Parts: sequence; structure tokens; C-alpha cells
Amino acid sequence: MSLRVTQFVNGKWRQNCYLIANDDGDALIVDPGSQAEEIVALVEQNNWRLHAILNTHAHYDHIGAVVPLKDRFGAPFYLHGGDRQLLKRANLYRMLFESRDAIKVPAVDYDIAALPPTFEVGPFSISWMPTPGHTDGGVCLVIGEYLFSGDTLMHNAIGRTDLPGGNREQLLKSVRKLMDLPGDMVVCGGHGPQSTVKAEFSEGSRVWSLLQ
Amino acid sequence: MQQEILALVYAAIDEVNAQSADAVAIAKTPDTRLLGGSQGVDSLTFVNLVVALEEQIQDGLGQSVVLVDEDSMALQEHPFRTVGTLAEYVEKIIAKQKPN
Repeated sequence: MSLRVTQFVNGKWRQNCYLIANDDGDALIVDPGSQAEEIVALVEQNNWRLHAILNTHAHYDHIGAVVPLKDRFGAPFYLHGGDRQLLKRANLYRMLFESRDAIKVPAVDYDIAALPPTFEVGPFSISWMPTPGHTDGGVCLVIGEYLFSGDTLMHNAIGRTDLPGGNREQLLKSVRKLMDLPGDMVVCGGHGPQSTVKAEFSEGSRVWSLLQ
Repeated sequence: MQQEILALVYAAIDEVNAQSADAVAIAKTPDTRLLGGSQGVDSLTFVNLVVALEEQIQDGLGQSVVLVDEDSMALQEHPFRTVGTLAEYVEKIIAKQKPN
């Protein structure tokens, strides 16, 4: 199945929301952080059928547009249960790091932790792996040739670990797991440009040096 | 109840102070400034304090609370200015959650 991945950079932290669509117009959204109206417009302009909203983790800058998208398209929301508490605290982080305009906190429809390592959503096959360290319930998702790595792995960077739930040793262990993925797999991180597994872990790269 | 809540806030402050050896300790007095103004704590310290306090409330009173939510952010004057206003706010939330 050939996939088209659209990267939508949004919000104060220039977070990456990804829209994944196949040739038949079926679609998924990963990490809709904010600017819901523009994400809705992208879905509608392309006549996509949205099957699910999946999140790599529950920091507020990744979940701010979930509720409006659920309301508009009726798609279920997938999140690892390890981040439920963090999800409830989304407005704490938003108040401190962005503004006092609250976001609506979504209900979780599917706990990723309860799903098998590979599960189906509509015509999509999605593999997930637990990658705690940036947050307790952080996950990476593999869909086709794409790795949606959230803030676990980004181009030339790994996530911060100084917020509650963060653990540097755990994060480094999680990042190491990603080294075994195919080199040409496209890394779609939570912030910054896309890359490949090979580029991120090649000898001398920034991520490679962090792992030494 | 007021004293019990203040004790939980102080226990949370102890936890945060213990975690941040290099930072200025948060004083355990009702007048201690938290958010707003130049004498408040930094964002990271405040996050840690709120998380520690929610856990203290869960452990001490068996109640699960979310201190910063849509309701608290909608308040004209936010309740996180000082240790004392935080304790008052916690008391209100807990009273609201109790069954009639």
C-alpha cells in the first residue's frame, strides 16, 4: 500500500502533526497538536476518511487538536495508558509554557498498551513499541515505511527528560531500540524535519554520539 | 481541614525542595509567592510542585484531583499566586468532589 504523509507544523513549539493517507482516501492522524481548523481543512480538501487519531505521547503541544478532530470526524483516539495522568495535566503545562487559554482534554478510546505489537485500523497496519523516557507512556509507531517517533527521536535530537515522567537512562534505552529498524525508514519526529534511521544513527551523527 | 490541606502542601514542598538541591528552596509559609511577579518559582518547579501535591492528595486523602484544568484556567484571578491561595483552592476542589 503506498502512503502519502503530510507534515503539518503547528503551534508555538512548531510541533509536527502528521496526516497519513493511502490511495483510496483512507487516513490517520498522528499527534495533532494545535490549529485544528487547518488540520480539518486538510482532511476535507483531500476528501480523506479519517479512521483514527494516534498519539506518540500526551504532552499538551501534541494533543491540543484531538478533541476538535474527534468532534468533527468521530475518529477514535489512541494513546498509551502510561500517559493518562500526563494527559489530565495537559493544561498545567499549557498554562506554564504557552498561555492561559485552556485546551480540551480528550477521552482515550483505545489504550495502545492493551493492543498487540501490530494492530489494524481500517486498511492500515500499525506497529508500536514502548519508548518511555521522554514520558512514561511514550510510544513509537511504524506505519508502512514511516516511523512516527514523537519526541523520543527527532532529527539530530532526542527528547527532553527534565519534566515529570522524564528519565534520561530510559530514553537512551528507548532510542537504542530504534537502531534496529531498517536504515531507509523515514523518521517523522515530533519537531523538526524528517530524516531516516540510517542518517540519525550513522557514526558521528549527533544522536549516535549521545548514545556512546 | 484547612490545616490538613496546608500540611499536604508543605509535604509537597518538602518533596520538591529535596529534588532541587541547587535551586532556592520554597519557603513553607502561606505568603510564599508561587506564580506571577518576579519572586515566584520557575515553571519547572511549579510543575513538580503541582504533580507532588496531586500525589500527596491521592495518598493522604484518597482523592484523585487535577489542580490545573479548564475550570481553574477560566478563573479571573488564578489560585496559584501563593502557597496560601493554592491551599485554599485545594480545599475548595476537595469539598466540591465530596458526595453530598
